[in-house]
Amino acid sequence: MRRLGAYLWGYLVILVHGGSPEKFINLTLNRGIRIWDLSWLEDHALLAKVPVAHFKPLRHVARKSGCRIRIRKKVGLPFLYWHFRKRKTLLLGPVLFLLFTYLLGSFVWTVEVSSQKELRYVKKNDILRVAEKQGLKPGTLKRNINIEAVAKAIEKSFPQISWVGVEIRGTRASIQVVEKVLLPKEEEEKIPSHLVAAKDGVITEILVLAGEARVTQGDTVKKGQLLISGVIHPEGPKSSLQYVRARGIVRARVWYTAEATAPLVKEEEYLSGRTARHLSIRTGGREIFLSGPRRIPFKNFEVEKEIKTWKWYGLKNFVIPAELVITTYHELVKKQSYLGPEGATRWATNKALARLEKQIPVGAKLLRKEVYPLGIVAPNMVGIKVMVETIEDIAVPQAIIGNN
Amino acid sequence: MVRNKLKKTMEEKGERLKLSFGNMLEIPREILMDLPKITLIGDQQFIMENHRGIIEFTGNKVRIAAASGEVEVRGNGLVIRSIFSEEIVLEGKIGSVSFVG
Repeated sequence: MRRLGAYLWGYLVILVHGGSPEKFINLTLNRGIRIWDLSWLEDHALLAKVPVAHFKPLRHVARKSGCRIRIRKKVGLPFLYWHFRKRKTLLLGPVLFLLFTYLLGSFVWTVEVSSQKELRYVKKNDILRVAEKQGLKPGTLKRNINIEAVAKAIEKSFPQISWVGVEIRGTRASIQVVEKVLLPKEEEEKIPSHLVAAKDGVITEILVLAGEARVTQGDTVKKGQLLISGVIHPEGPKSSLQYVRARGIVRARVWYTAEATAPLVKEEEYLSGRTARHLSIRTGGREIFLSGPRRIPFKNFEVEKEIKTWKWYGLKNFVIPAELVITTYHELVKKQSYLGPEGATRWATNKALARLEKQIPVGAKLLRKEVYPLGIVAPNMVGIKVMVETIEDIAVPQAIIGNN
Repeated sequence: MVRNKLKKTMEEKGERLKLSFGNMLEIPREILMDLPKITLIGDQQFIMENHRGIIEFTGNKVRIAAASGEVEVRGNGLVIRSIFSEEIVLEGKIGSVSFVG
């Protein structure tokens, strides 16, 4: 702050030579003259800085100490002002520039529509047109824009929109739009469709709510087979076909099978907790080593790589063309344990069940679960087969294509 | 002569009294006994409070007067960054600080 103050008020760089500079310094102190940045030159000469206002009394001090003073440099705003006094037009440039940028900054230059999800029912151009009617368009003065009115107008003219936010940042106006999400389901449900089998099975129960049943209890169905048709053949000779959205519940027995193997000897890998870190900087396709071991000190390891880039937010999208690569090696230790045939079978069963669990839907009712051992299928490998029987609703809608 | 000696011992006694009294009340010594207070920031900055003016100033040697004796700073490229009646700040490569007299 002291430096800034000195610059604002202006200071002089003076050369003090001859006589006794030490006496000169002490005398300035006694007189309360501010002096700073005293540096020694050869032959009993000094360079120092003094405020402009303190220069006059300094001459008296110089006479007393037998020194001579010369002004080397004038620094500060007052001198700049003097410099520019004779060239007023030169000052006009920056002033005009500032004025011009200020003026330009008080307009809206771009209007954009953005939304979190892609707009499905409303077109961006339509929104822009409504905004334009309310006065929000490129080239309008910012203070003439009523943000709330624009938002309200957009909300009113598009029933598909649930929320509108208008924001002006700098010279950019952004309209944020959120569409209603309920719409698509309603529309989809109007499309006529069949119900078909999602997977193979034997039907145990069928309940038709809309449409015509094409299968009965006890039928074996294949995946994709028509269960309830959305095409209704009305009774009576003259009436034409009717298309509906088939609805109903079709329960069926479904079988799932999975095979799995497991070794008699379990080999496990776990992290020992020992790590080694390697730092390097990657720039222009080359990698510069910074620190860490040059060779990986572990036999088995897991690699974790973290890359850091530096962004400079002053410039848009400017990325410093170098990145820090932090590579961490985690040591892996192998451990072997003998499971025996029973343990291996249990392990294989668990693996198979886990795989099946992903296929079985949430609403399914479990009927049966059986495990068939397959014996030793490969050296030191036990195989099993798991069968699961469920009862579940296998009907899924499928749009009607053509007439069937 | 005798009188002089007596005076000196009296003075010494007074000083000692002052010191013990001051220690009891925890008064900073530089205030109590008019000593210079010197702060060194590495070998880059030298700050001295309670000085009595400059005796000698060159680029590698600065001598500053204190209430009793003087303080000598040696180094390279020494500059008086700022100087006030109560404080002086030197900058440069400081080699040594010593008390003379």
